[in-house]
Amino acid sequence: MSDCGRLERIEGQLVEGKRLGRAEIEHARHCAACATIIATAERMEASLASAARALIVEPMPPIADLLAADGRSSEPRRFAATGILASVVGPAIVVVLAVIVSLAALSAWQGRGGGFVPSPSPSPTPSATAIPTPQPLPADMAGWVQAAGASIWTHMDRIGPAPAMTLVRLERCGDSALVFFEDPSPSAGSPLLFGSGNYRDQPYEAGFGGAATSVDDPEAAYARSQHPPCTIVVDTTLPAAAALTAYLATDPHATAARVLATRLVTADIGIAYVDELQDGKPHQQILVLHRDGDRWTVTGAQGGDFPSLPAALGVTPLGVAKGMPDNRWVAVGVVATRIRANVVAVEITFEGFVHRYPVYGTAFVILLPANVGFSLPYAFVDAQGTRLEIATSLP
Amino acid sequence: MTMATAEGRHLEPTRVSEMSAESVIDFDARFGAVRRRLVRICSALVGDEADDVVQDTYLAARDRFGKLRDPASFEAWVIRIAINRCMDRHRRSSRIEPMGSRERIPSPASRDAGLRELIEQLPPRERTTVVLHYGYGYRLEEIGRLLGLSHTNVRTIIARARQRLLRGWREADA
Repeated sequence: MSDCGRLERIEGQLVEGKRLGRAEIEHARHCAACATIIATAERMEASLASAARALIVEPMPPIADLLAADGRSSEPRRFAATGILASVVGPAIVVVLAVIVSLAALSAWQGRGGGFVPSPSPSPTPSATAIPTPQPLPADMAGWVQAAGASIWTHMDRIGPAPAMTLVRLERCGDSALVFFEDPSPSAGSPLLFGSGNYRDQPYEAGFGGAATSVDDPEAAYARSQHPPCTIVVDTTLPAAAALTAYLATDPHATAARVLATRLVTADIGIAYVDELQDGKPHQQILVLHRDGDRWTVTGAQGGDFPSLPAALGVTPLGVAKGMPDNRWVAVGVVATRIRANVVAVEITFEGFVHRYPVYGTAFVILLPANVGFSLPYAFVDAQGTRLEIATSLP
Repeated sequence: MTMATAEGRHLEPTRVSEMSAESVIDFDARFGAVRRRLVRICSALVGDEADDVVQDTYLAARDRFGKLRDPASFEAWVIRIAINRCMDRHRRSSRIEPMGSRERIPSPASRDAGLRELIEQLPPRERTTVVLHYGYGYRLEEIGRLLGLSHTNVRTIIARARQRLLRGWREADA
């Protein structure tokens, strides 16, 4: 590795496509390392187009047609900044705004005593459970949490200032912390954003992270495993669990109720898959939860006698049901113990296509498009794509 | 499937958006006609993840089909959604990987082949931008408009990709 002090700067200019100044060019005449990097960059630039074209097997419509296609289809993430001034001032404004927004979000979260934004008032409900006031953020972690949202946002290349993010969970793992926020992007594929970093050393970073399906997401679990043991400092998923417990306790016919899987649909709506005994018979329910101010409440329940044991011996059961607040349906299931260690996804066939959904843990709740129908073909697959079990959702 | 409403506790959902059966059939027919093309386009942009991206595109486009103002632009519209989905393919590349931490790349048999391999190893966001810019010849401003990104951000992504490629190229040469 060269110890030339200008090498890094010259490389930076080259990769940014900037023209080298006379001083750099003169310097490179006498510096082998810099001359080499300049020559290498020129050769690479000359070859990039043909190398990239070699990957293309399908032409695209003219760019004008693509740009003319209905603009409302594009993701709402435009951030306009042009010119040299904007290229310098813009990111600075982004950082400042992100910090301000994060502070506002955090203070709102602390003041409200709950982890989810207020929603329109739902219908009267049969049971309601007050959300316990969460523990205040420890003084030694507050600064890091405040910066973490913006840091994750930046590391994920999300555009624009980080919007208000709602803290879902905070864990302390030695000098490191693991944080989960609700993903505020309407187009997000996963409900959570997570990040981890050293909460003691400034500048605060939460760079190791990304999107997460749940707090038990494999990548989050990996981050957790790097600095054990971890303790939960804040967990706003608990209020929803408390609401479920209270709701289930009101049913005199149900016993041995277990919440097998939950999923946040929006900041205001969650669904839970519950396995229980109704009058001694196996019974499953999909519960819909709403946030109402400071309370989580169960506002909808749809149940069926999905057998917890496979209808056909050796096949993991999958149930499909409607009952969501919008017209989407949900698929629920429990992964059979014998294949649990290997299953990474379930492939469900509808509308003529196979759709793959990741599966973590022992049970899952999957959102489906509207009216997909019952009796869906499905398969559990391992990391290599091998189909471990093939069946049809229970009739 | 036996479906039973839990006694006394069912809340009829409010339906806010629903496609008619005709719309579903129309959408599926249109999407089916363009599906193979989408897979081939996405293959260049995200490689092995193309099938997953096209499935994501199907679901996203299906949800928004009713908002499409000009049905004649369906193909361009879904291609645009697919390109955006390719860019959003974060999950497998979201771990922050320090520059130069990859395993040593074997010396390429030819310059183009080696560079092509390096492009294929880029994170989806960078690979997509490189292929759109260098492969399809789109200008950075056009890529920005296509993806809803600022010109500055596209330039940053391209610069980051160039840096990875340059370092990989140098390692291969060494």
